[in-house]
Amino acid sequence: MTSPEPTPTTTTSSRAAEPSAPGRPSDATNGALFDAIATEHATIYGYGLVSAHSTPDVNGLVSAVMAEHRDRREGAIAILQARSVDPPLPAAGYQLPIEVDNPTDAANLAVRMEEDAAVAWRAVLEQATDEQDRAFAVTALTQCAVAAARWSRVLGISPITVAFPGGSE
Amino acid sequence: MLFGAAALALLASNAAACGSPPPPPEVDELAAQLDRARADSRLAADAAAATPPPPTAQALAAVASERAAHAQALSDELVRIVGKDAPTTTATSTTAQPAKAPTTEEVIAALRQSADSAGQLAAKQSGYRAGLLGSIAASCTAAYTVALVPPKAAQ
Repeated sequence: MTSPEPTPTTTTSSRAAEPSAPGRPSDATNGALFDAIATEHATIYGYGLVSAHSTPDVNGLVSAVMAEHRDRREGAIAILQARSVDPPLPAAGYQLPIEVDNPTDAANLAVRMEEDAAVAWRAVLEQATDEQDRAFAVTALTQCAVAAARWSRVLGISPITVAFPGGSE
Repeated sequence: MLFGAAALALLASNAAACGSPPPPPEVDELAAQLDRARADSRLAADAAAATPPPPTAQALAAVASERAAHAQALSDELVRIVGKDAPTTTATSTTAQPAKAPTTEEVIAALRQSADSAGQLAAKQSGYRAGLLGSIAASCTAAYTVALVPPKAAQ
């Protein structure tokens, strides 16, 4: 999956003086939400590259899906903040799971990121104890599955749908 | 007093007839999801057999197979809860053949209902069951909003 760039292992005093990034909450629901927000940060970063390498005919898809991820990230951050839990910060950069040099790479990365996001939201769905959190996660999981199907269609994959988005059944 | 005793007797005889505690309430809801998955799978397979244009036929065949996979996962989960085989409703299907093949629109309508129903139940359940139902709702939605819609309209 799209993961943060390894942080340089410097021990300079200036780094040590920086405020520490919020840690993952120990509570299962909030922990899963924290992970999902971190995944959304990475996905939004990755869509910048997808956008840069896509052909104009998928502009509508790129902007619609990116807006969805942004809305979802803000929604999830609001849920955590309402519980006085600090959400994760975006990383300075991310290591992408695949190299992106052309429109096909871009669509492949998009499918991969939607699959990763679906996994993160299914984890929220399984860990949540609150019905509203679960409803939020069902919507997120569904939107990721729809976006993955749309990108798979761009790639000409058949079938473009999977039986268990975000799951390993 | 008499009524109370009769009710108690009835309860007792029911318990004796079953020989086991009543199944947890989620069993009925999951069984309903299982029925929906089986019905959708048959509907999509019948629609695919009616030779629609090739891309639609492929998408319908994929829906038939995905809904069959959902049925299997739901059946496995029911077995895990009740500790025995899930009830089968497939026996009734062989007797009544549909007068005419279902259309893609009918499959879309059925999947929309199934997605809503699985999504709502997912929010009420918890743990693995919530996750499974959420994935089922997501799969049905992707099928009826993207896979079964011609490319130009979907983009």
